[in-house]
Amino acid sequence: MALITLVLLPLLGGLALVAGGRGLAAPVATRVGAALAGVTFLLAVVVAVTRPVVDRSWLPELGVRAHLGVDGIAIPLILLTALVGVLVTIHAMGEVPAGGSPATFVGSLLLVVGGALATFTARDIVLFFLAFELVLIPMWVLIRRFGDPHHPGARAEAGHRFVLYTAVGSTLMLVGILLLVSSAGSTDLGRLVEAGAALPHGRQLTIALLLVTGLAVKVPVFPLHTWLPSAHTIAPTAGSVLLAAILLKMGTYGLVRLPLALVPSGFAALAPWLAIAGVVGIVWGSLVCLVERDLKRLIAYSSVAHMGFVVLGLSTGTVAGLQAALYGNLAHGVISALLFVVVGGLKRRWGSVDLRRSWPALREIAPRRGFALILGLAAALGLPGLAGFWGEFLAVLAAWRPADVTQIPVFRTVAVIAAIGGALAAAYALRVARLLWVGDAVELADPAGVADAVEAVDPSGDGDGDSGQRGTGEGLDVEARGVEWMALSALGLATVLLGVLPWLVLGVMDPAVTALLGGAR
Amino acid sequence: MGLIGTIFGSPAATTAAACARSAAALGGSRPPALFPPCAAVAALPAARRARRAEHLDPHGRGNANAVLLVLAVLSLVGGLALVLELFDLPGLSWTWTVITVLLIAVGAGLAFALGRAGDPGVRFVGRRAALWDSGFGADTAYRALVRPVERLARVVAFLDTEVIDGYVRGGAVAARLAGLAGERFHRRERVRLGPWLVVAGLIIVLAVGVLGWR
Repeated sequence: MALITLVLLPLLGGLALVAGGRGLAAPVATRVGAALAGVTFLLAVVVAVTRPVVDRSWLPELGVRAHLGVDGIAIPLILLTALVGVLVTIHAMGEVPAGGSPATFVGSLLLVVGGALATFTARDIVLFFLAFELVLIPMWVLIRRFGDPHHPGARAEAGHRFVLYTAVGSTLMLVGILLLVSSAGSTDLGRLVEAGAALPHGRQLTIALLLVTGLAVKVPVFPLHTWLPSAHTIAPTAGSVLLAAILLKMGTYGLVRLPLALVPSGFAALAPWLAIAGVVGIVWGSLVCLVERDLKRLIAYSSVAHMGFVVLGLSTGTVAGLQAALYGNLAHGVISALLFVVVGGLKRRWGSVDLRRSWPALREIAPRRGFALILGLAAALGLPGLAGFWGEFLAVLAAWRPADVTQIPVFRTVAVIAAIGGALAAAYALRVARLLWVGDAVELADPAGVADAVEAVDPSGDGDGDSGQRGTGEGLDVEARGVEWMALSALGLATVLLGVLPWLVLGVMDPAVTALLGGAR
Repeated sequence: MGLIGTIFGSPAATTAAACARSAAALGGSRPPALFPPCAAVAALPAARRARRAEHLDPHGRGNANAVLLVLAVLSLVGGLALVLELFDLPGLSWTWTVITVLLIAVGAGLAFALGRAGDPGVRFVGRRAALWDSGFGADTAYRALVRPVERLARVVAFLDTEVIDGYVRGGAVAARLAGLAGERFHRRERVRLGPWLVVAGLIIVLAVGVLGWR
């Protein structure tokens, strides 16, 4: 019961808000959304503890069942999704972007969360695909309607690009799923593990190629990543957080659940290529970050680099590699959410965060936001003791000893390049810290166009529930207060906890990961 | 010793390095007169001498002592953690302990001997002061390493937006052109063509059905 409610509550609540909440004022809509997200989070905790299973007949003609369940791989992601859901709805209490009614905004946020929860709990491949696709529509609404208000052209382009890219990826994935279901004769993920592994190698390879390519768009793996920077740049803060913390996670989760678990020999044949693509992504993304001018784009490219480590861990085919990938996945969700809250707030008040210009020092004008930025950057560069370290370190370590011993030369080369790419992360993180945290002595009375930009940006008409920041401080007061500071504190705490106590999560994942690889090999 | 040993051991090594540096820069136990008039330093022009002093110890002696104090406390914590077995460490290796103690004794003796015979910094570094001041060319090495990486990064960023994304934009343009072409075709078509197209489709479907019948 808790499981069905967990999935249906945000979906139905979001749908009700989108469909019938047009007349709701912003404070009411955001409070309803936050309450729904809070209950969803409590349900997620209950589900994580009790691990219920739901298995009902749904489409008997097609043999599709409404089969939901959780295991150690899904539980951390479910908790992350529910937590991020709470944070984005709380964040919406302080900031509802222009572009539509507040209820549509909050409803879209809840729909994304509900769709992601359904994806992570689905135990039927058709149900998985439906949930996976469900998320795209509210996400498109968030980018297209609620995106950066003073670049309508760029907003349309980012929306189109998001839809076209992900639709192409989904189509490939759908063909792969249909091929798998028709060859193996089942849609249940549990039964497909044996039936898929028994398929001939050629068929497995075809299915794995389709599934991996389709899901690689969502991760994103180099060279299918160019939708991410434009979507991140345009999306509102909450949308960026959802993109980074939930949508990308669905891609890697899909890679683990579908090709890796269901067609193991096909996936193993693709693994070296996937590892190479991942490592090219690491170096490529990090290099672009060294010269990128827009801060939001920079964080998007750093996501490409971090997901490269995740893909590298997946492709090793070992328990250690898979754990590294899942841990890196989780850590990236928390870190990038933290960074996007920091940067989204800056962008909203300053109009843009162009790194070619000099900005006032955050450590002086906004010490709390500055601290959150430094924490996020330190975690992103993989500092030991923070969340980002374990995923990257363990992924490189796992690549040194891949499951397939004939591939050792490839994987060791790739591991060395990945480690060098990790060093580049330090370079770009310190670049951002130098430009924003250390900053320049820009006179606060001399906004150099900042004030104009802010006037143009600030869309907070009547619907804005945020009362403390309007009027007096204008755009130059960028300190994180109220709900924004709450969100930053929660994410910062999660970053430190994941860094100091990795075994909390690794212990939960371990049995499921071992079973997954043991059952497949 | 593993990872934890390295973590607890590193303050000791850092302390030693910092001690050596401040002994060389500040001249042992001498009072705050930073650089006593000895041959090598006195030969420098006054402006450069001042710059050197500023560069080596911008905040005066107290700062260096504070740094040493912090490092010494950290070393003590590391030592205590080892002795009190706070962590699951494999115990002391006697060889390494003896070597470490000997190193400390030799270092302290050297520092004492050099300090008695004048400014240890000048005696130790001698004519190679310029090399030490420039940090053994670390800045030059940094520039030599960073410039090509930056150039590469610019090339990569260009390739990303112009080539990889170019394919994507090309795909979008192709899709739009196909849509426009379809629209024009529909606008130009004659109405009477419609039924014939339906008939043609019917024939194709029938043919596929008959030929594909098994």
